[in-house]
Amino acid sequence: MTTMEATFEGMPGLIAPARSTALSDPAKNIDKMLEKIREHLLSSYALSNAAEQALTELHEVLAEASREGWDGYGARPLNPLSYEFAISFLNALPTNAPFPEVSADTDGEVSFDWIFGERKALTVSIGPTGRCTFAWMLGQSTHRGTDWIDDEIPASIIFALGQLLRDTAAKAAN
Amino acid sequence: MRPKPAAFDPPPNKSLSVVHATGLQEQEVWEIGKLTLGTQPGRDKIHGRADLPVKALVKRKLRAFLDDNPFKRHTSVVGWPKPEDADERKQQRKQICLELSLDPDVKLVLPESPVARSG
Repeated sequence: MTTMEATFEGMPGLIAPARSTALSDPAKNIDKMLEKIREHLLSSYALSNAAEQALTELHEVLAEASREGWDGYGARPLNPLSYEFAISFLNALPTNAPFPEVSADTDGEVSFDWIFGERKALTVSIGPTGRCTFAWMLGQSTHRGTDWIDDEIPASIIFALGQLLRDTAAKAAN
Repeated sequence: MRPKPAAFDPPPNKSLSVVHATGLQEQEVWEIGKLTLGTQPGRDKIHGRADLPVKALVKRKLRAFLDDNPFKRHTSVVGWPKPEDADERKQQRKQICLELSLDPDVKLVLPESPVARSG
């Protein structure tokens, strides 16, 4: 856990396809190597299982929340664009990050939750414009913010996840 | 295990439906829960419930009032923050839902097996 966490912050997701504008041959070769690494990682049982589980959960949530009033109290259906951005989000998660639990918000956004323990969790809602609304708690501190998913997961969310993982690893080591 | 934050997310009318469970036996609470079941996938069984004391709501400046509508003991949780800015509004709601999810006074209760509508 500690070694995983040490390289976590700022690391792009290796599961995500390489996004490159490389023109030179050496750069193209690096892209090819990255793609091979990505395929290898996805073939790893543990990793693909976790990623697939999150994607399956997301698909189940879409089926459950696809109709107006799916909660019995007028909730909006899950927005297809939120769903697409949620898939991008999962694909862009750093390889060593745990995958979240998935739910639907009543306003049609997708919610991802990482609950690590007592007073230690992160929740992120993904909207149809790529807006990521998040709140996280670590001990007595609570933080919240808004950011947008572009090609990568917002740094603010990576930071929050990194803090929570670091704290969890430190407590496990003690 | 903790209840998911989204379990506390209020619907568009900003009134979260809960059941006033004080004084009820376990089985009676699940029976009332059956009244909320739907038929679509994922809404036809109860896999768990969150028991939250009113003080957990008051701490977040929320209010609970018993309205017995659409069923007896139905209670509405209102008073969700409504700042004009949409981003701020969503942020505040996310924070409250997260806090309720992690509040030590809020308990996740799991049935022995998923509760479905009888008959």
